[in-house]
Amino acid sequence: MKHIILSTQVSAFAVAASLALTAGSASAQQAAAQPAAKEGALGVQNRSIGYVMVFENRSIYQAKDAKTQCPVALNDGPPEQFKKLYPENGERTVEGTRLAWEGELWNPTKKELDVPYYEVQGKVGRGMNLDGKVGPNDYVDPDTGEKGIDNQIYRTVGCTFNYRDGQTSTLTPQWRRAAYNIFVIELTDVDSLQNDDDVTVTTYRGNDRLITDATGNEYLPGGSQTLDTRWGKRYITAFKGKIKDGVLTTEAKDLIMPAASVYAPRDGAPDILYRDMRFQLNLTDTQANGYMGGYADVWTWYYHSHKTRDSRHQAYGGTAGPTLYRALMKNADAFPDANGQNTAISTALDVKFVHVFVQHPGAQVAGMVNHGTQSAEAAATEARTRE
Amino acid sequence: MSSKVRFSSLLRGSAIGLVAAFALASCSGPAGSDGAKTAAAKQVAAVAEPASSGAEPRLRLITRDQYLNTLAYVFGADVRPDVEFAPVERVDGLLRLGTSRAGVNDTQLELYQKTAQFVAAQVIEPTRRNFVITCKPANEKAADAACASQVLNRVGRLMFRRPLEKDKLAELVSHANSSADKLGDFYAGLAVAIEEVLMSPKAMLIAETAEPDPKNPGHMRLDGYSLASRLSYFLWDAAPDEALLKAAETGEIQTEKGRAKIVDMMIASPRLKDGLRAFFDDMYDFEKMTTLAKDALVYPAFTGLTAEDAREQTLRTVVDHLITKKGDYRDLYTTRTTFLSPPLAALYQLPTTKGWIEYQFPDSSPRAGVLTHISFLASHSHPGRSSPTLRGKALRELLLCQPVPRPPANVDFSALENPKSEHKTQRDRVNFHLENPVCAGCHRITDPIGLAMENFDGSGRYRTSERGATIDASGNLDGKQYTNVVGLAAALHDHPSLTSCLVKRVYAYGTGSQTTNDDAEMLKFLNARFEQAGYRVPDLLRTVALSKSFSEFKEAAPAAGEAKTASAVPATH
Repeated sequence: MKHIILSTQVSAFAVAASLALTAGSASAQQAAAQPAAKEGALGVQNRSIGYVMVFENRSIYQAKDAKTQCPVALNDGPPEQFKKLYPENGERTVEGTRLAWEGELWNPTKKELDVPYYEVQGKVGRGMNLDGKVGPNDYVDPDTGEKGIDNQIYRTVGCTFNYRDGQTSTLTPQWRRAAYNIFVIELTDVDSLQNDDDVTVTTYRGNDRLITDATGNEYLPGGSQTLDTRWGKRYITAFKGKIKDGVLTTEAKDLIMPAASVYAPRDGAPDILYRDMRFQLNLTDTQANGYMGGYADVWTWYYHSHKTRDSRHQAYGGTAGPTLYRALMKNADAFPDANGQNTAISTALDVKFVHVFVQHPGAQVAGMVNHGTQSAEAAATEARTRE
Repeated sequence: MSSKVRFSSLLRGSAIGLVAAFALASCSGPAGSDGAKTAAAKQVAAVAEPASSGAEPRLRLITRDQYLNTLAYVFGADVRPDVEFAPVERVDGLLRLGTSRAGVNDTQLELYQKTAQFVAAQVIEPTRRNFVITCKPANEKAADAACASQVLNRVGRLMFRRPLEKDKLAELVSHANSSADKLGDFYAGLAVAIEEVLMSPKAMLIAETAEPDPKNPGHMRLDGYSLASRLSYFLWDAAPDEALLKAAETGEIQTEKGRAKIVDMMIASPRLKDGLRAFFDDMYDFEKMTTLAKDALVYPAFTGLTAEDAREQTLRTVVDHLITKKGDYRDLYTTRTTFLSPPLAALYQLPTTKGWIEYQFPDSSPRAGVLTHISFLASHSHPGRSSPTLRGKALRELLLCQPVPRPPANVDFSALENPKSEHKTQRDRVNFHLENPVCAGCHRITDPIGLAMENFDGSGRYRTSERGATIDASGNLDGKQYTNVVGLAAALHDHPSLTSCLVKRVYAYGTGSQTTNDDAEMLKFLNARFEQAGYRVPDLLRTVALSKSFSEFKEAAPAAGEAKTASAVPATH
């Protein structure tokens, strides 16, 4: 019976979706043609400008000599920790070894583990001053000398191979390149990219593939992104901000970053929840580069980390879940729960965006003739139509 | 012994006997068709073309697209092997004319066999076999001559563009049977015979045959099947379908009414798009787009996808303007309507959305017509810089049919290629040509045209300056002055050679013959009809397809019982 009800719901949903799509299509076709955009004009148009993320990496400062930051060693990975936690002596059971490890990985406890975990040493680190204070655990920026840098994720994973040398940046950007997890920001109410006291930055998930250059390694400004305002509502957040001397800064707000993993189709998309996220970007007509900083929700960050990399990545990247989780919880520095345990940890992302023309669903592309779109597939089918 | 096989050698084999037999078989007399439309008949009556020597039968190598389009009709659109055929020589501005000068070597034969094998395997797949194999064998694990015969008769007829001889059909069935018995699989055996059909010279070579014209003693005409093929490759870029073969079989295609009815049907068909795309792809020399590359450091936004879509953009514009909108051919060079895809939009730096969209450049835009498409601008430039000379030359040769002499062997490029040159713009640099009397003769007819396109760099992206200097895009086309490329497009629109060049190319493309002085009166007639029709290209196609010279030629009739067969033109290179 439950199954029947579900089917009915699905059917009704499909009909509604179909009608919605039809209505949207008709609406788009009936829309009056907008004047075409000026060719090559990538800057602010109609007081707005869009950018799409093409690079992200955790802000991990690396000294020339790793020994100053990690004087003992880099962290062990799962194979090494497994051997230490479950030594090959005495009676060993599946429950007491493999299942115990899996349990600690996915349902970590507070039990102390008799294995070492190394954190970054020293006072130098990159990121943003999130709380406006200079605390005992804060870092000093190596380039600007700014004090009060809040980046406890750096402390936690800075001695783990997976998070050094840009290792962590290798997967998600690849997926984004394939029209997956596209992250778009649109600046509106913009009078100038140099100085403007009041602008709005809205985040979205985009639907289109990024455009690469002839080498295939760099991303081009001037592409287009259709916003996913229907299925990607959870990624839409509006930030108030200002631009001073070409640098955009925004208020802090909770933000869900599209970071779905192809490795976790059954568990749902392990997006990352950032608390009090904010932007600090150097703006030009074609690029926006800088930081995004905030407090990563420990569980989603940890869960995402292990769902987007399979066991081999964790093994050769020296990322052992049980000790990592404990370190994250120990260093978490914001959003305490009812028991006083902090649930979020300060972090920063090095980010790069390139200019993109933002297309809102239902809005006609400037200059598009009113027949609507025709996909390449549809055109190919049409071309092969035979009497 | 060289493995290269001349067409004439192939014809001395089985093909010549086959085509001769069909030439005789097709003389069964026309079957009158009283279903032709009155309007069509009136138009046929209105054709009053001058006497001409006509276009002789040809033997041509099938092109890749012709082969694929035919496969799509015979086996379904999803049977589409990813294959490239060997390039042919461009003759008098058209690759199509080069197909009758090509040879076939063992590498090509291997490619044909590989393709045929792939297609045959696709055809017998359980999910597809019901489409083509319309009968069921009595036993799937053994030969079934009746079923194999039924299938091979249909496939052979469509691929050979005429009915199979009884002996040939029996031979194919025998091969299917013996293979089925050896393999213990009816379908696997059938695939062997289908493969044989697909790579047969009768499939890969288009051999036209002629017969005495009963209504015009002393003249020859293409036989019905050859006429069906010529029409079909001209208008659809594919082998004739069942309807055309039927018209050839009944003789309807040899009657004025019947032929008009068929041509009108073909022009009204969606398949005309395939034919028009093939023609313009050829005339615009778009073959070079497949290998077009730019210096990634100079033009990072130009990728392989850009080149592919640039070609598609222009072909879509052509089809939309000439067929969908039934537009004036000349307006193709001034229209601001075109199509955009995401990779192209990134180069144009314009907004777009998924897939292809029809796009209208504003009146203030520097883009107007095909000359300002990336396909034209990028393909007639150097990998790292634009080229007024190449662009001007392309306009002269491709669009106005005015050949430009090649540069002398001892030409000095140092002044042009010196990176420290004091000359900032291309205009400064190419002016060097005009100071040198050896160069000036030719460059005076190319550079002033090409300089009008200097507001577009070598990748086709718009620019207003070069190395800090404002670009001067003024010039003149055969005395008509302009200040920018939009003015050049207008001058080209009104240039008398624009339409006469198209007429010449269409006629040569359709008949498969290079035009000569003997065709002057015929071309004059076609130009007049084209003008009367408001320069509508489908009307031009119709006029050519219905003309006597398209299917008839003047030559002493062969002796009784002897058929005239296409002869190979010796390769000159």
